[in-house]
Amino acid sequence: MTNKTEKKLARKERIEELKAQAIETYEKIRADLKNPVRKAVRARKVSLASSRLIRFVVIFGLSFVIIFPLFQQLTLALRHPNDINDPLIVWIPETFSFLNFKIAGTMLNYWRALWNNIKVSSIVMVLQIASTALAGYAFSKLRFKGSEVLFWIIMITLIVPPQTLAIPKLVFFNNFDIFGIIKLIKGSGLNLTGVGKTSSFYIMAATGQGIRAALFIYLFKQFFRGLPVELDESAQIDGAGVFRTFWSVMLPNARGVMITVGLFAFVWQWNDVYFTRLFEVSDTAYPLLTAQLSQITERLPHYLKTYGMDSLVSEDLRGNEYFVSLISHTAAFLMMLPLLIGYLFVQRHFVEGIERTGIVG
Amino acid sequence: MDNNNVPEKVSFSEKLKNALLSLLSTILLALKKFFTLPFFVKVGKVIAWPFVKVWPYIKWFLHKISFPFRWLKKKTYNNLSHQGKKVVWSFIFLSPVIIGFLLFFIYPLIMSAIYSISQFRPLPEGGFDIVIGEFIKENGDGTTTVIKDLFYNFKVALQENRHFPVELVNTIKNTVIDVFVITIFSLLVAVMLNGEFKGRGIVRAIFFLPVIFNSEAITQALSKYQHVDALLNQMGSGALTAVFNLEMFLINAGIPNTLITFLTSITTAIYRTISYSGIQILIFLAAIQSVPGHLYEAATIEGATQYESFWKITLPMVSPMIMTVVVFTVVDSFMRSPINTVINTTFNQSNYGLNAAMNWIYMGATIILLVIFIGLLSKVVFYYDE
Repeated sequence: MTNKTEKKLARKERIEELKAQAIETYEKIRADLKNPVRKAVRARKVSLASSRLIRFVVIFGLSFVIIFPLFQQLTLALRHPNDINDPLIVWIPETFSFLNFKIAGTMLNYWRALWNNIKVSSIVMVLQIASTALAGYAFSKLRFKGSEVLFWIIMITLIVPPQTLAIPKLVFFNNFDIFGIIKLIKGSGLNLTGVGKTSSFYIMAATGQGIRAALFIYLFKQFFRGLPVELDESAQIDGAGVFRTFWSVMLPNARGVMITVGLFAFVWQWNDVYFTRLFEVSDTAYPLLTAQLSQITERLPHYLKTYGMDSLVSEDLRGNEYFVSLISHTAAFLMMLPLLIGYLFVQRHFVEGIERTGIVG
Repeated sequence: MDNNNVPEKVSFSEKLKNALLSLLSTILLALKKFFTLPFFVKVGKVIAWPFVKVWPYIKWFLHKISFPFRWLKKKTYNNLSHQGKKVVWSFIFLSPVIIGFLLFFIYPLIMSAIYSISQFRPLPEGGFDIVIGEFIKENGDGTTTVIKDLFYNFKVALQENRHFPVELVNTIKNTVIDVFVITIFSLLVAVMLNGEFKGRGIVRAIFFLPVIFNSEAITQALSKYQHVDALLNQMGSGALTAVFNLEMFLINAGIPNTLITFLTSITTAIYRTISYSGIQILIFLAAIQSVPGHLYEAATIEGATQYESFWKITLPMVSPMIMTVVVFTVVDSFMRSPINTVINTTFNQSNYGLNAAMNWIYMGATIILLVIFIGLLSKVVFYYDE
């Protein structure tokens, strides 16, 4: 019996103990909840976690919206044209084929157009970087009376739409001349517009009037302004001239901005349709990707015949609008592909460059 | 007599043999040297040889010829202070841009202003006769009337053209909406991208992808088939659409129709907004990066939440950049608007006078919008003086 009562007592004790413990923890939690410091800490933790969650959701969603069309274009391009009307195939093609790529590639005259595009865009990029970096440096570090006014006047070029200036530019390049020197020698000015004549692009890029060059001048100005004056002064004390300071001290620091500007200049020249069409640069003899892409739909039936690809595609597809759309989507993908690959390599420096641009009001 | 002192008489054949041998050995040595050198040095040596020989003379000549310039430099440039030299270099650095500005901006602007008040009359031998302020109008029944009015082209554009005024109003409306949406959106995205989190580099890279996609050429080439895409969407195949086929999914899920149209229009709007706000995000991101970190530190110590520090620190510090972004968005939005097709039609019809007038109206609208926006913003913008 004693044993039993002892056990009972022990159990009671145990229960009491547990109760006390529970009350203690309860009090602790209560005190903790009431403690203003802990309250604030908790509030911050919750707000941090929730903001993190919201950020994750939003960023994930937006990234999805950006990436998805790309993915879709790729899967579409990989599907065989004969499967186009099949509603069962949504994402993963049933029969993988590069036929779309083949047709779109021949129609774009891909390799030649690619080479031309790379050449034109790279030269324009280098010239744009050179002219805008010089101007940006002059506006930020080599100031004189009225340079700020001049800067804002040049910024106006951003606002004026390019079409306003198109016709006089066309006339100018149709009869290009430098103070009448060429007319003196050849009797008339040079015609710099027409198939394969890309020098008009280069001239505009070199004189800081390329596509959105004012924006680049702005970026360079902001960057060079952020560099410390001590850099300039110490170079001067060491006996470096103005150009030497720019070339060996300032420019090596500007790698990030140069990559950013270069990327934009390259991409915008690559995607340019307006000036290519205005100056009538591109043709079958001198293909450029954008111009070829914009004509792709009209040319498709004709091309299929001339390249003997009729047999590859079943009869009912040839005039089919879905098929034409599919091919133009593939061609668009082909046009973007080199940019995407290039972007993958430059992307790290590009993002770094943004951080160092340090634009301040 | 010592025979040894007398030099041995070498026969002619011996001499010839020696000479030939030495020549041969030199040639062999030279060849050996040539072939052991790397390729580019060989080629370089061969090419450079004449230049190396001639260069000193050229240098001397250039030196002599540049005498007046050097004299000028000595008299002027060398006497300048460092500040003066800077100004000289500033002009040298700016010269390409200034030349370009005069040639490709001021001159075309003036010319296009002249074109806008004149009529282009085609000449029989090709080319045009540009007459200022006098317009010959065909009445349609073979007769013509001469109108003497400087602003006739502007009147045609605003009163007689069917599409232009409508499109202009639409463009202005869309631009105002775009400015609000894109500015707010890109600021929020920039704030989000600025925070520390895993995979930030990748996310940033993704967010600037639209800068690459966002190509006029691609939009143009694919826009011809928008009705095809819409049709496919209805059929449920939906694979050709640019945006995720949300509509079908929602219909299948049994969600009311009005809500679906609302949601799909939002997704399309988001896609549009994202693809047009790459540069704006970039500008804001760079601006946020340049906000001094001690401000945030102080705010955190004082117990400010992230929400508060956004409104009290980030927004005021970034506000000067809002102006830049608004300017850029207005210009960009105008350039993408369908009004450009209307203007280009007149260009294709060789009606260059009307084209120039339309462009000037378009530009005027842009500038008025910009002035309004800047006027409104300049009251709110906060300038932080360090």
